[in-house]
Amino acid sequence: MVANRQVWMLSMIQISNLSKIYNNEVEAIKDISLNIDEGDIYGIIGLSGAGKSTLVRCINLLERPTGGTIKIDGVDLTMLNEKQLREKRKEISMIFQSFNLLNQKNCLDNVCLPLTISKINKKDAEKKALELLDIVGIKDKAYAYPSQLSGGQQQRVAIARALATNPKVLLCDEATSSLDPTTTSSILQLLKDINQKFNITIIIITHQMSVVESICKHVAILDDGIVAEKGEVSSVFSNPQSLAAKRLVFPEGYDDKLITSNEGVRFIRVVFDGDIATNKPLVASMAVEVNVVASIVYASTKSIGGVTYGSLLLSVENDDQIVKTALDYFTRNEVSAKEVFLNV
Amino acid sequence: MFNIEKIQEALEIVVTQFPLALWETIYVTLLATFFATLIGLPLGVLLVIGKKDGIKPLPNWLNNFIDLFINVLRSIPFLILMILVFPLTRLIVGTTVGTVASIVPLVIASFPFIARLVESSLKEVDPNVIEMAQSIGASPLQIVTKVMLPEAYPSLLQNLTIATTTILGYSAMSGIIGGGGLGKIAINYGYYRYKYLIMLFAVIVLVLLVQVFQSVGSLLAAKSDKRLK
Repeated sequence: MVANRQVWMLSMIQISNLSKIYNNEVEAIKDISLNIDEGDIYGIIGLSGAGKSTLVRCINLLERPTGGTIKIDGVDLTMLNEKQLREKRKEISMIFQSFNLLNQKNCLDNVCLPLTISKINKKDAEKKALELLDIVGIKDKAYAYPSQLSGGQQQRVAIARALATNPKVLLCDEATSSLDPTTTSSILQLLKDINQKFNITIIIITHQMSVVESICKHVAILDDGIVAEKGEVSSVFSNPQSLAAKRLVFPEGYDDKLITSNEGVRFIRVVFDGDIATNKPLVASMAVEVNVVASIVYASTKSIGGVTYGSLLLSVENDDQIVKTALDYFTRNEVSAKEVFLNV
Repeated sequence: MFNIEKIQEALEIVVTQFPLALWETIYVTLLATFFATLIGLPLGVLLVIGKKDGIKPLPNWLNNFIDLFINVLRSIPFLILMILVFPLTRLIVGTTVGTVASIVPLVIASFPFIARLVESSLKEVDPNVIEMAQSIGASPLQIVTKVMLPEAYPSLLQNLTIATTTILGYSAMSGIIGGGGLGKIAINYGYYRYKYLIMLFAVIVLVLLVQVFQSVGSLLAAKSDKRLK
């Protein structure tokens, strides 16, 4: 009975009181505790310098934390010796912003690398690598070199390589930050597919809210080395409590003046994630069609090939009926929209 | 100095003595490069991975010792080094004179140089790629053999070409201690017997040889590089 309860309580990743101090003075992360369930897609978001990279490197001990513990599937990594740690790392794959492929090796050999490191014979390794390249959709590039591929294709190779050792956890360190929006959404879709197909727990480190919104179930907001806020993505982003979370909802910088000058209104956040192609001037036509007048508080959108990416923050009159009509209007037009509570 | 008679005499020596001298120069150069690489490559690897932030940090005193050792050897002029290593040469080859004996000082003079070249080639490898290798659980030895050396291969080839041509230059100097080859001909005829024309021919052949080594090396390096094609 007791054993059963322990299994039930076990998260895939348990980070407890983690801290990292560089050179006895710079505190990169402070007392971070997170539990991440098996099969989750967990976003860790923060502005640059918030400690995201340090945190993700502490999870596979590329950086040794100065305090706290990391348990992956029940095993405390900080207690392992070098050799045990190397074995354990085969269960924790990682993909990077700069892809980090071997430039002098073709894609097939790149995907084979973790397998040859694990001393699997060349024939079996190549067979497995081809299967993986097929899963990520670039089997035809098996014999091409990284320099002959686009950024998105290189990241696909890196994902195939990350899957080679059948990992339980996949760490993504700004994996889409150097890709354009179209490629970003296709890579995110691939990560989602992999999560479902192999039940891999995925941790996504990013500074882009759109990334978290499009695939993460849970999110932790990192600010100056601490977790400012964590929870389900929809609740954190629609009702941000901490200053850090509010700053992310207003990427251009959160300002108290903005809120006071908008007293007596309510906010709706509209997200264009590239799923639909729309040329319709939504805000204007909302006024015409359902008679809701909204002003744009903040906008950051771009149109690429007729598809719009980005987000809008609108303010409407403080009235339940008006807010509901506006939300319904966006839903009808297949654009995701949520009310955001920003008032302090 | 360039009358018909002298040219004829010079040509005769070119025909009778140059083939053997050329062969001696080539094999001394290649053998010396080979042995110097055998010592210099691992030493260069140690220089990179042993650093404090390297993948296999060595104790500070050892890093400093290797560094000093290389610098000291590199700062001794080759002419003097040849004579300094006589005891070692006698130990290894049994004699201090002759073509084979000249390989020993050549190796001693050039392995520290090769270690530095290897160090600079390996430093070019993207640290992110090394981090990736650590993240997939590669051991330090695996990172060296499966990531760093393959990634640095074109650059290593380019640098070893430079080393080969430098060793070729040194090998000509070893004519002084009785080493064979084109250097010996140049010194014996040009310096001791004032036959400048023969020396000139020997120098021309040496220049051509450097050209050939350099071109072949650069070509191989360029061909093996899979970046930017």
